[in-house]
Amino acid sequence: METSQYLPAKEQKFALLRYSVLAVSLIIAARLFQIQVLNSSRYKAQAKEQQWARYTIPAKRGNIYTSDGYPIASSIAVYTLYIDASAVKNPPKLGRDLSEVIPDFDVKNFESSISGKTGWVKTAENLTWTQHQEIEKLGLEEIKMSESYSRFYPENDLLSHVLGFVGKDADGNSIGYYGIEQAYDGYLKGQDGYLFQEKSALGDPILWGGVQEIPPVDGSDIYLTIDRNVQFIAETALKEGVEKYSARSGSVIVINPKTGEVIAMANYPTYSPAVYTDSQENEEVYRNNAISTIYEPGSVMKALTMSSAIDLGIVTPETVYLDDEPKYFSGHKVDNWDEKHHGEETMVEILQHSNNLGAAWVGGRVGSEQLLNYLHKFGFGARLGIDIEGEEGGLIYTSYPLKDIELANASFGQGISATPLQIMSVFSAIANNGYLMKPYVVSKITSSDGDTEVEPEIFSRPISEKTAETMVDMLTQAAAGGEAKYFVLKNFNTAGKTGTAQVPSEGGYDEDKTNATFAGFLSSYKNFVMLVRLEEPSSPSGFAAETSVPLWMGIASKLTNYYSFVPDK
Amino acid sequence: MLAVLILFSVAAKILYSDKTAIAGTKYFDLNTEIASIERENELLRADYLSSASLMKILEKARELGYTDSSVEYYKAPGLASR
Repeated sequence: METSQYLPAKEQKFALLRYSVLAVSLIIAARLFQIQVLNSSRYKAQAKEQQWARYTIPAKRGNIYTSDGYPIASSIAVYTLYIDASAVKNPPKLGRDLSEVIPDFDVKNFESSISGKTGWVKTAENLTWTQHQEIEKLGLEEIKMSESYSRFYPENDLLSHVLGFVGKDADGNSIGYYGIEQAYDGYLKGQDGYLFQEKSALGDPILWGGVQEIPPVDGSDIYLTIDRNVQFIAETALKEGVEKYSARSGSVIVINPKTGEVIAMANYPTYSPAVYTDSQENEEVYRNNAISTIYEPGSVMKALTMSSAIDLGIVTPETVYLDDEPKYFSGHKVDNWDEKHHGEETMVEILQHSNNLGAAWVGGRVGSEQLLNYLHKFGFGARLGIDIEGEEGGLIYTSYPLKDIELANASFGQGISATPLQIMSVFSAIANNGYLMKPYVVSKITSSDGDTEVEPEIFSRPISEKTAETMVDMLTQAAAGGEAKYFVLKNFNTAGKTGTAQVPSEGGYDEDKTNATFAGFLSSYKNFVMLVRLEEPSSPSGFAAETSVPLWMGIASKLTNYYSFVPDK
Repeated sequence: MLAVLILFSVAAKILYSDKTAIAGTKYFDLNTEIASIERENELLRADYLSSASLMKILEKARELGYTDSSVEYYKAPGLASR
């Protein structure tokens, strides 16, 4: 009998079934392996997402304190009201009830906002705790309120340019813009916490379900070197000064030269950080011009040129320069601001008369290499490194030798540009025995991990102690007998220098527009150095001697009272 | 005897649970009250800070008749032209 090499048809069917079952089992096993092993973390996360509700517990943003311990920026709890539109039975009545609690509540707008809608509708924001409580008392089931924090600035617009403000980023998260709020955002914002709660398929919390909480970490508190009283004096006087002298804007900086602590930093026009807008056209007003605006400083820079020459031993206060006629540098005529010539002038008289030709002569003797070296040491051409957003570095020549005209111009503060803070650094170094301290605004950061104190730091030592002493005497004489003499303080010797610089325009300088600067300190009390800068003052003139000088003296007069200084003359 | 013991245990358990529940409710209420007082304090502090602002103090001082001190600089005739 012949044996068939093929299985019977029935067995063939069974074999096919076995292989099919095996194949399907393998596919299922592979799929299970993929789901349970390879993609387990993904599916666990998805399951957790479906089974657990996540609620954000907002972290409280840290406070910012002035040096007297006053919280000039703090956070306060506010509430957002949501209404379940589909659950509202009588919208006009609900609107009326809410309008009794929320003063500016628009009932008609509310009715249209929930009309025909289902789900939760955001109805009101920034409600206070008191309003929150009153709404709770209404006992409405169709409302829900969420807590968050809002920035509170009890002094309104005081110190706004140093503080900055808190806005929202593209994702709707709070973020600091400008000033301390931006520079120290990482410290201030803290870390939001989360509450995880098991939920049912309908999304409702399960009564006996699990709850996990990651508590929020509140932001660090920041203490400033700013003296609130001095800041107030400076801002009040600056506002009056800008209006009185019909200036476009103005800045005042007060610094402790011994440490670099910023005591006050004011700009006008100003804004309130609590009611900032996102408008691009207003962006200019947020700029801290004291550190962000660069301009040609003008004659105030003669203090730097003279310091360099004295430090190098090239001149002494008694060295005489013959000022007899205009001079030509690289073929360009250079003359004094009043086109007057004073004959033989000592270095003190050059400062007193703000003599351009004398300063150019001194600068020529210093030489371009050394002058650029001193500019760098005094903090020009690069940022000083103040710890707030927006500092600019200014522009100076980067290579030498300079052309004769460039060197002459730089000697009396033209052809270079600097921020008010940089210009003030010259006077800070002179007032601090030749040491230039790095300016700073934050003195301490406190967090749950402890305190971090900020120590004063030497930026550079541009001149010797002897040069600094000599310059104090020269600047005192310059203020007493120079352009500032009509406004110098009655009872206090003042060391300082004016600077009136025309504003560069296309192809030259605009004769009608000036930047008027006065920087200096009290000769016997070097507790503070102050700079006042007015942009384009026009009444009674554009000159520093008639605008920024009286403004400086007015503020200094108040500060002598505030610090209880004993008159030295 | 055993029945009495069981009955007593059940009664004790019920009593204990009841007291725990009451204490829990009180604890919850106290926590709510603490949160409420903290928020009220926050508001009072904000009011205080606003009223202690220098502009407010200046306004109050002026209302009371205080005036700015006279400025200590002098101005001579024949002002410099620059």
